[in-house]
Amino acid sequence: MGAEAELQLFMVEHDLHGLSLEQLASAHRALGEAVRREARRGGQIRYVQRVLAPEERKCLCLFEAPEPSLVRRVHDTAQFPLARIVAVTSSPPPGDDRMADLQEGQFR
Amino acid sequence: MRDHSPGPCGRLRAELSGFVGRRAELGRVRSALSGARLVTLTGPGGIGKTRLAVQAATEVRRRFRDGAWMVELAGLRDPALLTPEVARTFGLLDQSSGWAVAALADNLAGRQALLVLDNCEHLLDACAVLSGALLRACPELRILATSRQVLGVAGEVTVPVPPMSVPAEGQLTASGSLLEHEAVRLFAERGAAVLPGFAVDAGNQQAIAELCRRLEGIPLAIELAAVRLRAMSPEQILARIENRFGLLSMGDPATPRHETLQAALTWSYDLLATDEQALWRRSSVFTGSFDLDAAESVCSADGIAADAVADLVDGLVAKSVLLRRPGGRTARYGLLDTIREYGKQRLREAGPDVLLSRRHRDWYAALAARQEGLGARQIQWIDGLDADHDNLRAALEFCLAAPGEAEAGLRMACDLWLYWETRGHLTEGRRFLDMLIGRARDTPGLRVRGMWVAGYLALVQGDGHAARGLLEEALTAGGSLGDTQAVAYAAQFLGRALWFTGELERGLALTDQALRRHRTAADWQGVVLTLVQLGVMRTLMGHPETAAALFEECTAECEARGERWNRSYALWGHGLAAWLLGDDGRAAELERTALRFKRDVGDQVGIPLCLEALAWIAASRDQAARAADLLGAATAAWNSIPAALPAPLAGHREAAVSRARSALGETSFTAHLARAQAMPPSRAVAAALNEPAHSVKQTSTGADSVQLTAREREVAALIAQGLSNRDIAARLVISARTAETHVQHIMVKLGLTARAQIAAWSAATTGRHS
Repeated sequence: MGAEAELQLFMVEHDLHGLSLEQLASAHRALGEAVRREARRGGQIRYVQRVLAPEERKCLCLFEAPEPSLVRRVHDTAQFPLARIVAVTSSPPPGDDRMADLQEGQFR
Repeated sequence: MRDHSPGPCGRLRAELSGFVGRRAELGRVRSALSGARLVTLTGPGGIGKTRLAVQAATEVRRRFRDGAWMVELAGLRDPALLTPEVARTFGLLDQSSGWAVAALADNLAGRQALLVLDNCEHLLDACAVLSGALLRACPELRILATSRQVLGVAGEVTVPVPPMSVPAEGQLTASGSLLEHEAVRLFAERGAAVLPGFAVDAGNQQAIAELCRRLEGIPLAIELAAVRLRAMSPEQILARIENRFGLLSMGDPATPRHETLQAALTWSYDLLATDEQALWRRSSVFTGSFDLDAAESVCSADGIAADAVADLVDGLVAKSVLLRRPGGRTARYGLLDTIREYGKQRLREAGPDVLLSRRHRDWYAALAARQEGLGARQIQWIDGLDADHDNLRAALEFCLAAPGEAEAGLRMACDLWLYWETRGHLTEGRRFLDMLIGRARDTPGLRVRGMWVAGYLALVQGDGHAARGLLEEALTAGGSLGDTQAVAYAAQFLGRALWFTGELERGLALTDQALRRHRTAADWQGVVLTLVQLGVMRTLMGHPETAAALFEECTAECEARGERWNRSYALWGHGLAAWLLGDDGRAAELERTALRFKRDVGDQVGIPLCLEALAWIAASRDQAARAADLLGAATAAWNSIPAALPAPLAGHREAAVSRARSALGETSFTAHLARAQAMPPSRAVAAALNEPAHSVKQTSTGADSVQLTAREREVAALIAQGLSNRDIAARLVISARTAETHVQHIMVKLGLTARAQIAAWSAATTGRHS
């Protein structure tokens, strides 16, 4: 690999009211596929984590990418045309070394 | 309007010229489709993938109870809008802001249909993801795709489209047997179309055979050569092509090369007059199709006068560079994708032409700026924009991509608000507005307008959270800019957003304030829109008497200007108010008038609102059977969007349902409901208007379709015979899970909760479908 761009964390909140649980899983899968296809083409994007509140039909998705446009692109591919993409940082609670190590490994 | 022939068998493109050969490939596609659920026709541009797909779909559509539906993707550049585009083909409006695939899959899950996705290559990932999701959710859906590359979806079967068969070198027998080769037959057929009486004979067969070989059996190249028979003999065409192709050596005949088609295109291009060449290049700026007026304005400049364009268009149609699209009151022209690409390529070689793209944008921005969404010509305006939908998108995309154009783009996007709303292009509108607002930083006034327009579209789409944020921001920013118009609209729509989430008093106060501001500004469009909103609020807050006056004023204002869309809402609201005031006769009359307008203007969302109101009126007049019929018709109309009755009105529906149900008894009520739901929408509307069955008019949007698919009706009939899902699965040779899916869909579509109700429905409707 050549020089890698600085990676950032991005958060996307999805409001999926009206979807069945099966459809929620399907939407998640679509997003995963979109990321895989982008990555296979050399796009530096990683689907880091999904936090789902099934009752609320809401989910928070974290992505790692050099820039928001790549995150936008996978959402376009996965048919989330109105996704709001927010740059975020993630840090462990103060004084928790174990968490800090974990963060380090996951997010660099 | 697109060039489709809608009907119960779906929508496929109408072709202007005859289909030639390809029996082997058609057989391959047919057999692939009987095994695989995703079949992709692959091959380079000009090889005839689309024609083959249309022909194959036409031949197999009878195998699909719910027909074959084609989505042409060449005019769509934005992958995020793929799902709304597919949904629109099935007559569905784009009403969900979350993951639109779910609503589309819900609608298609009960259908046994063939979806044709044409020209996937530029949206490959999106097509792959959507296809995968739809195929998983819809057990009886199959997809036929055309693409230069495979989609790469599990289970996909690829059928490469080869060039047409050509005679081998030295193979010259009788001219009749030469016609066994598809390429020769295509040349002969297209030749006879431009030169009546033209046929392959002993004198020209050698040249034709050589020509087809030289063109490597690429259908588009052969067609471009054949149109030249008007002025040249096959020998002359061959001589010129050989001269042009020069050292371009013959390759493997099974794999035609890009260079061969390029050389054929260049040859064709070089034969044109300079002006015609310029028109070919410049018309590649259009996406989808365009009319003569647009061509005259966009393509005239630098040596081509506007009044010369018509003749040049005529010449390019004669040479098959432009294709006249079938149908329509105004002629429209399109370019085959490969031909457009060639034009674009030549355009690039001639140097960047921002002025051309700007003229294109200016033309469509001017159409949008007429803002006739409220007025006597509103339907012509909306239909006209629909015909140019691809071009509107292309113009906005230019504004997003080119430096310094965001402001013009944002203005255009704002001007389109009522088009986007009335035709349900909500996601698209919001997406453009969002991106353009982010770019047009130096024009605060325009940004505020963009915000309230986007907020309004979000509100219509049911995304209250986003709507509120945008409208609050617009209200504050508009206030600090002293922009009274923005403040008035932002207040109006924020009032509606708040009212819908239960903040009734604040919502009402903002709406009142907005009406005052619109009146002060003498903005009649703002006034009539707000009068309806305020009237509905007052009606539902228990003040129908004050509301009636507002609706009357609105009706009069609209009538004076020949406006119908908003007037239909005023009439609907007025009908509700009259009903609540106890004047059932007047109320029914108002609702019927409203419904007639809604049918005329093609308001898919307004139709069920009127059907609901008529149902409630009938229920309170103790016309229980009629009420049940109307409730069924309304449910079907909501499902066809798909959408639901707005929450603040739900109480009235519940009251009508319980009144009609207790008067009729459960069995009869369910049967009425179900029968009405199974009726085609246009028949249901005609019945609601007490029109005789033979005078049914079509609504201006959407294909007529009965509520349940043929398969679902079969399943319902088997339930009526007392069969379990497992029995049904065995009887229909489907999996138990598929049977269960059908049962679920039947219940959802008919609004039922028990198998016994399905049995009752089936018993009541049997005979009408068999």
